[in-house]
Amino acid sequence: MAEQDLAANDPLSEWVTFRLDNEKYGVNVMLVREVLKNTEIAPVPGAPYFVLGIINLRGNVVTVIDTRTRFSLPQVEPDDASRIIIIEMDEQVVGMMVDSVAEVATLRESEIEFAPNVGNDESAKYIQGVSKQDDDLLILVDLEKLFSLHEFEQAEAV
Amino acid sequence: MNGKSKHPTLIEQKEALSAYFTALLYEPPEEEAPLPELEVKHVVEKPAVIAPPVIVPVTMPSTEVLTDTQVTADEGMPDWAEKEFQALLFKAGGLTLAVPLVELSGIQEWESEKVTPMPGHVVWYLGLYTYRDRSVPIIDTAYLVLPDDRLQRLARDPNERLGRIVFIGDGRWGLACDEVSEVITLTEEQVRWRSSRTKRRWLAGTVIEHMCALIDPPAFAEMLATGMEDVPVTLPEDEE
Repeated sequence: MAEQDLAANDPLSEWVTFRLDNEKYGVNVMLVREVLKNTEIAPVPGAPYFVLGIINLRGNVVTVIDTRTRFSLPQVEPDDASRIIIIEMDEQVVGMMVDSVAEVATLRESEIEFAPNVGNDESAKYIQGVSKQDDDLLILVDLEKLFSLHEFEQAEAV
Repeated sequence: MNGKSKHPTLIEQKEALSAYFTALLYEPPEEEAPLPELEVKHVVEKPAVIAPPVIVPVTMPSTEVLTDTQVTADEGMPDWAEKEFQALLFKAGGLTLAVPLVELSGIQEWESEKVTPMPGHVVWYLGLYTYRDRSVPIIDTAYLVLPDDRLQRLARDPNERLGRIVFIGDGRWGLACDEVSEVITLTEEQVRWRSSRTKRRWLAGTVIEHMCALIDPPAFAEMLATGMEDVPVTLPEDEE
């Protein structure tokens, strides 16, 4: 009973964690369809600045974005550890290139801390919160805000 | 031997700083809204609005104002100021700032490995730091207080110049700075209080004797939280 009460008052959520530039990020597992090893990405001329190109995923064309560029981080060449996280949201599918994928972390709501967004740049307000993981902070990304409708449409239009 | 001729640069620096602080205190006149029925003739001699010649620290992005709920600007001495109060001097980008001790929450050493950068934010937001079991945003103070020309000379890598973090706003904000120095005792007469603070609300006044700018921590914290540097004339009706 006590466990049920705890689950009701302090619900659990699962997050696929990945690394970018030595920091650890998490995205809601419910929006992750699968994780791919780095594969051949066909560049698309005229695509938005954050789009790496497209891949063929079992016959479907999926746009892959450079998460580092979208996060204003320095670009690096993909290596063996690089992964493409396939996100499915509102019937749209997009791949996120990340440095590496770590694990699926289970967090209680009480373990998620609100992260103040500084300034009023709306495009930067995609951090849902943070959670302490030993000495590190896990940065939780709000995918719906990261892929604002306009940007998603831009990526989809590639 | 004339002692003054030996150290001419010291006097120039003092005068320059005095001019700088005077500029910081200068309130540009309110711009008047253009009349709707104004007609433009064939020749316009001068632009209708002239930018005031004031040294402006980095401008925070402003928010569009929508309705007519009035907000009053801070006037004169802030609530925390008393006849005599203590303040801690610290430097940001070479500029000396003073923070009143009653509004100071703590000081920590700058350790870049303990600051987690947040992606995609403005350049002066250094990241989150765990302080008193709370994730606290750390601000590169120099970017908010220095005029543009001095910012150009600032070392790009924060680790080359940051030494301490000064916490304000009940420990909810950390101001990364070069160094902290001494605690001084000020009387209200020593401070040139700003009469009206519609611009740079974080600046409560200046202390020429110590060549420092006295910050108003609650106003600074509010500016960081809202992202607005200036007092809005109006506030939105609904925040959606």
